[in-house]
Amino acid sequence: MSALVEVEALRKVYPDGTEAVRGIDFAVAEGEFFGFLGPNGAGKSTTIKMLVTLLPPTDGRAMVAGHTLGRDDRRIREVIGYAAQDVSVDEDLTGRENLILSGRLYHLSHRAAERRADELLELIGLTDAAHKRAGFYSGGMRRRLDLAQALMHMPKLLFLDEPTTGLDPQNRRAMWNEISKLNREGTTIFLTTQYMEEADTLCKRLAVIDHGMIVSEGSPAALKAELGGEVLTLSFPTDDPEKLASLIARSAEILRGIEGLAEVREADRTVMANIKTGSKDVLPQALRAIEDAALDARIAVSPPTLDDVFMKITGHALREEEGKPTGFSFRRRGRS
Amino acid sequence: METLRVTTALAVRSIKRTIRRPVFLVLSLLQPLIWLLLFSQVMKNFGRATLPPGMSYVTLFAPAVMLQTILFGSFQSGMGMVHDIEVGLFDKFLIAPINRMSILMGRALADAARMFVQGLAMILLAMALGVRFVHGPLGVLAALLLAVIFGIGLAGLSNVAALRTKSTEATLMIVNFFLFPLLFLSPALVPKDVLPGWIATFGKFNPVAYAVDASRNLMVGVVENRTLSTAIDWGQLGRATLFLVGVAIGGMMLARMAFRKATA
Repeated sequence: MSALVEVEALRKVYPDGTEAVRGIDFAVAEGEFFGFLGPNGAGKSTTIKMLVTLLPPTDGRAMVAGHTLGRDDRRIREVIGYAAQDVSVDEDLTGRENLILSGRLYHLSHRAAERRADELLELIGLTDAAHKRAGFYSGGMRRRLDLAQALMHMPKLLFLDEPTTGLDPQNRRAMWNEISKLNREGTTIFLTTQYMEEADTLCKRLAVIDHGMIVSEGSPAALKAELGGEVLTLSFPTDDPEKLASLIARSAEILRGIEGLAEVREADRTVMANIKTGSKDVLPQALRAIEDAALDARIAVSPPTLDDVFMKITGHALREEEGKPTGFSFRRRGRS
Repeated sequence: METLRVTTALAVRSIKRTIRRPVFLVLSLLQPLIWLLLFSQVMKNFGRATLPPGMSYVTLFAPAVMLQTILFGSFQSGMGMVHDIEVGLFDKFLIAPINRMSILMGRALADAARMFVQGLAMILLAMALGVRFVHGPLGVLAALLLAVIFGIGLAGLSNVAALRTKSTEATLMIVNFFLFPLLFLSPALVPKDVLPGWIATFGKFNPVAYAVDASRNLMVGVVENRTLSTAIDWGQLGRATLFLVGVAIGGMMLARMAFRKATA
């Protein structure tokens, strides 16, 4: 397997001085499904924008599809596809016209573009809406159309920047299926996400990125294994912030006193700890200790999730927020 | 060849957008229409006192209104650019393996077509108001083309504003800031000989003044000192063409530089 993406000491400092990406190294092999997992503002989009030739890196080197970034950008553009974080479709064109225009930009003949457009419309289930203007499409339909635009020229490397942000669960799942299928059929995929579940389901290999740096790398299973055994989580049925804070502090204190627990960590609304592998009776001990202190807490034990992994690596939770709404043309493009 | 095809595809796309949002096209005609109707009433007596006998004010004003429509229409170019940047289509064009200048050229091509139609609409309106064109359709066509060439230059400048500010409001402000004074400091509203000396002198540097003179020259004849000459003033036309083509080339070059800077 050869690497389709090779990145060395890549760095980006914006004109305002923000260092969005602080010297990262990674490689993506041909055929791989690789993911960048990180919260908003971690540097995911900035990295992707550099790799798709939209943003010049401040420092570092990258090879994309065998070509040097910054020198053979046009060659790179020919073989990559990119779906940005914010959907970009022309609302005044029909779905089909949007696709044909994309095809024309990749030098397909008009006839070939039409054929490919119809094929993709079928694939993403938009055949019935093909002749409707994209301005009338729902958020999910736009996302699919946006993805299809990136597929018109059958790219061998596909960059997807948070492809399911703003989608409802049903549409998200449909999108996952489509992307997985593309990967199975041979397309190498580089995806960014802030959703653990997404990274877990889709990616064969992950890099966890936070504050512009890669803090961990591996398969989702390996990352979780690093964490060791199961995770104990305490949650508290209160909405009073003061009460919550004191509950969290006190129960963290208690958990730290239990021998079978490691890495007790406080989150916004929960306290978590790893159960050391091989230790016995940790749960009853914890239950008793909580009860003795008369703390109002709920206790749960679960296998580690990527959330826990993220929490352990970065010391803060990956914010699981709902996606921003996709407005009607009046958005400013942020960077993260 | 590829570049030409891509340019055409992008131009067609822009034209479709214009056609499918006819409200902008209609609005762009509404203001000059109101000017034409309003000024021809307000200036009726003034025209009687300063124009060649028998010439109506509408006749004097119509070529200038055609020009004005095109000049203000030119700024829709930059606004379209801001829109594309905002919705991310611009990025989509940038990552395509194309000659990036075709993004700008495609837009310019579509702008030219749109401005031509806008100008033509005003000419038809003027005809409906009884304006007679002394050099026939050929004169009108030449005046239209010259105005469109000028418009391309301004469209280029509006793209500079768009690429620099990435804001519709700022792009619009720049129109009002430059275009209105240049328009009022030209013989658009009154014959040249009525203008104060310094404005007439300034007119030597004012592209709008050249364009107003040229469209009048080609459409309704040369008006000076209460006389109308229906012979084409080739000298004036030559100077105007040179100046306006210069503006067009200059405007597009600046747009190209701004584009390079924005996408470097």
